[in-house]
Amino acid sequence: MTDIPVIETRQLAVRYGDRLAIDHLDLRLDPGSVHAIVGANGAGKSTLFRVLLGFQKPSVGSASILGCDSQALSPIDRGRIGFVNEEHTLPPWMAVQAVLHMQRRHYARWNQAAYDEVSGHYNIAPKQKVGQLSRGERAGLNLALALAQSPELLILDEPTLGLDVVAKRAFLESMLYSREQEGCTVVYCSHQMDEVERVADNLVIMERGALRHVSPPEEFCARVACWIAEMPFRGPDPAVIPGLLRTNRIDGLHHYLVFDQGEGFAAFLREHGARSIERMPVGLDSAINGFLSRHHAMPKAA
Amino acid sequence: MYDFFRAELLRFRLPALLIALAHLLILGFLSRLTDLAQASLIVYRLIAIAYAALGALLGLYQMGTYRRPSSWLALLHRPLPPGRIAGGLFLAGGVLLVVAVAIPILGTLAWQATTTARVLDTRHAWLPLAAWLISTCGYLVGAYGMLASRRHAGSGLVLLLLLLTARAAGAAAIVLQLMVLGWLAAMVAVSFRPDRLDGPRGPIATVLLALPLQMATYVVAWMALTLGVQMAWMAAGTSPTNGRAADGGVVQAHQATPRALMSAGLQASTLPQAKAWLDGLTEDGVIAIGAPYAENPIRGQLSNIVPTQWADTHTDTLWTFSYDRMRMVGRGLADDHSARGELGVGRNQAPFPTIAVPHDPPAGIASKYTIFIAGDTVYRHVADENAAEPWLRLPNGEAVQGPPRVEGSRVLLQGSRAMYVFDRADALVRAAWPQVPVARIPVPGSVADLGRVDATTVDDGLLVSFAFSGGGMFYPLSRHQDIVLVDGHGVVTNVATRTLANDFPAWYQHAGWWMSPAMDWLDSFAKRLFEPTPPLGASDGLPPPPGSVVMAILLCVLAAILAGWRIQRLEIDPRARASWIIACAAIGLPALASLWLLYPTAEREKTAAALQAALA
Repeated sequence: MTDIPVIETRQLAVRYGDRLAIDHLDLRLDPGSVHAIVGANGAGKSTLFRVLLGFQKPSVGSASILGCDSQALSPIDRGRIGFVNEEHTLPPWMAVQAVLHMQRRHYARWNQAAYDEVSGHYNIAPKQKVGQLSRGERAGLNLALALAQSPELLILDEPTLGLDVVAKRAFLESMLYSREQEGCTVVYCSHQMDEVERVADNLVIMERGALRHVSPPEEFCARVACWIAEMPFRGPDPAVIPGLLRTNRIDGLHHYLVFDQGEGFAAFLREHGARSIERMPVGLDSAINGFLSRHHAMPKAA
Repeated sequence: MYDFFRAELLRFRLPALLIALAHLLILGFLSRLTDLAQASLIVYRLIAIAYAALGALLGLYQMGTYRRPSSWLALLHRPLPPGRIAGGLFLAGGVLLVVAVAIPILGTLAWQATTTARVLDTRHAWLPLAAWLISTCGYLVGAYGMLASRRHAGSGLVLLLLLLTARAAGAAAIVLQLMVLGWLAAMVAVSFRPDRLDGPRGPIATVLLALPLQMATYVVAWMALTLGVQMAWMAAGTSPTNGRAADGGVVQAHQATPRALMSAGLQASTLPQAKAWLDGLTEDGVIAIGAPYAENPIRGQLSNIVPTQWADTHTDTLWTFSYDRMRMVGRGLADDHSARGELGVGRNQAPFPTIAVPHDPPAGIASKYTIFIAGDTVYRHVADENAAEPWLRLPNGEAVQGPPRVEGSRVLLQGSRAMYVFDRADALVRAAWPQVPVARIPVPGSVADLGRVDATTVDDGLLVSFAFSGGGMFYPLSRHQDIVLVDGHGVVTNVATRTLANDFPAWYQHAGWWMSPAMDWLDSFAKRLFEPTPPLGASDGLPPPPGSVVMAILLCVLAAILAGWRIQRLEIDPRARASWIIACAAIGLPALASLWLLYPTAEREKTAAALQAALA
């Protein structure tokens, strides 16, 4: 294990017209973990991957991947990085066997056992055309191909999108099994928080192209709390509530989802007339949901 | 590379085979109707356009399936250099076009060679290669259209346009097609990279992409201006070609009757006899000889710029000139397949010295006999002997550039440098064949610019009018009409010279030049690359007037200034910046347009400005 980060960006910015897709991002991901990158739609995750793989030139700043300048990746560098995208883009006109044969020839560290292990979870016939596979089967094939490359870094960009629960489970199990076997670093991008909770060692939250948070998921969860208070009237003005992520009223009780607020928040609520107060832990899904909903786009009338 | 090659072959094998079959059926059907090997240039051009379009469709579709960001990433993110991936894909495309384009042509040629009496020459063996090269050029144009940014995706088309307008012939045309193919392949190669929408990297890539783009913008701008102005004139009813021709101008000279043109020319004469000649002109008394042929067929030429077939209905024979045998080869006119022997020069059927072009019998003399024009000689078909006999011959090897015309007691024959006069009575005496001219009338100007020649017999001899109204009435050429008199002794006297007014303003005629003198030169250079020596020599072009020179300089300066402004907003290294400014100063607006289109909108400076604002 080296100290060289698998991914490092410095003041990275990408602009599409008047919109900053990535907003001066300083990110460093260390090797040997599963890093989950989450964010709302348009957070810049896919753009970040395109920059990292050298398919998009940054407007400013720099990016490196496995210690190499992302804009100057050599074929050997590319062989060290596996990539699976949400569309599972494989040539639909080719037979599975032909795709396998081609990949095997291209990757020097091809691990047939890994391919067999992962693809065994799916009902894929070698002579079947890729275009005839279901989405789940295609995802499985794609992951099997990526893992069999024995990559040092595996980037998964919403790989389980559209998969049914069985296919999703098989996919995640395959990935975790192979990671254990190969010890590669995984960068996992998903909107599915249950998956993130299950696989991630490190959580990266992006919002509108900017980095908002980096920590292990449990640390992040610990910093988000839901306070339930019985208030006599309307409760405090949301503008003055410290660390407020989201508020709503259920069965006459005020629920305050707050970030980085300790016991002092109970005092704050009491000052505003709370008769009873209860602090509830929140799961990763709710925590991230609340964290991202602060600045999420909403209709003007809402 | 092999994997991609094989995968793409398998991917497109069925469509390629189906297209090949359809192609073969179409060629077979057309071959039943006509002799495709002898089809005219326009037919060849239409077929070539179809091949280029087929190739372009393949390129557009194939690269269109890869250009989506996710597909592009899946294609190129692998431990292979992009060049090897591209090599596999495009090699497969080339092989598919061999199957779909070249092999059906080869099959049709083989069928024609083995089962018919039609003429097939060595030159026809190049047709499958030429068709494949053209379709592959179209393929690369389509592929580039998908790979490049939409701002300049269509620039490859200008190279296809070059193939359509180039004057190279035969093997030289193949070499030119190979050069265009090489350039297009290089354009595709430098664009086949992960961040394909970014501007070109390095001076070679920049020149490869910028030059066709500059020519494309130049051609589009020139056509838009000239056609737009023409349309506006037509709409306003003031177009010189649409009823508003200038008095004494080129258009009027072009449209005048032979008598009217001769009359207009004689009015400019200061000779005392001119009045009598003028009064004696009748509508039927002046004959139109026409313009000389601008091009002659050459050996090895793939297309047929003039028909080289003629039908002898008396013997039920269709004669076709064979470039290999340099003789006419006959086949049954009715049954289309029985061989009827060969027809050469003289009793021993010697080969013609150059390509012989058959013509209808000239009116007024030997009107029953087909004639052949070949080099410096007009041959007459002697039916009884089934041979071609040299009939009229020009001196000093000067090429015959038109059919003979009879005017009174004389036979007139246009040569590549002069008009020749033969005695009509002598021309009928076979023993004196080949006849030599009794008078030579030097053309008083550039033969290439001759728009029409008219002649009439007067008491003092023969009046010949040369109107230099040809070479395209929109082009800036020296325009004048000259009338000469040839007396009974063959002495040539100048009778009148009058300048023909240009119907179009100088700025319009020189638009191609002042828009960019450099592109104007390059356009001419590219079209004339490997051009066979023109038989009529060079045109007498007019130099651009001072107004056009000033305009050209102003546009170049403007382009350089705007380039200097624009380039500061682009991420280009200092040497490249200087080169771009110099290029814009030398080439003008087309270079500026290419600078604008090649490099994506400057995102960096916006971000930098935003950064500076944030820091402030």
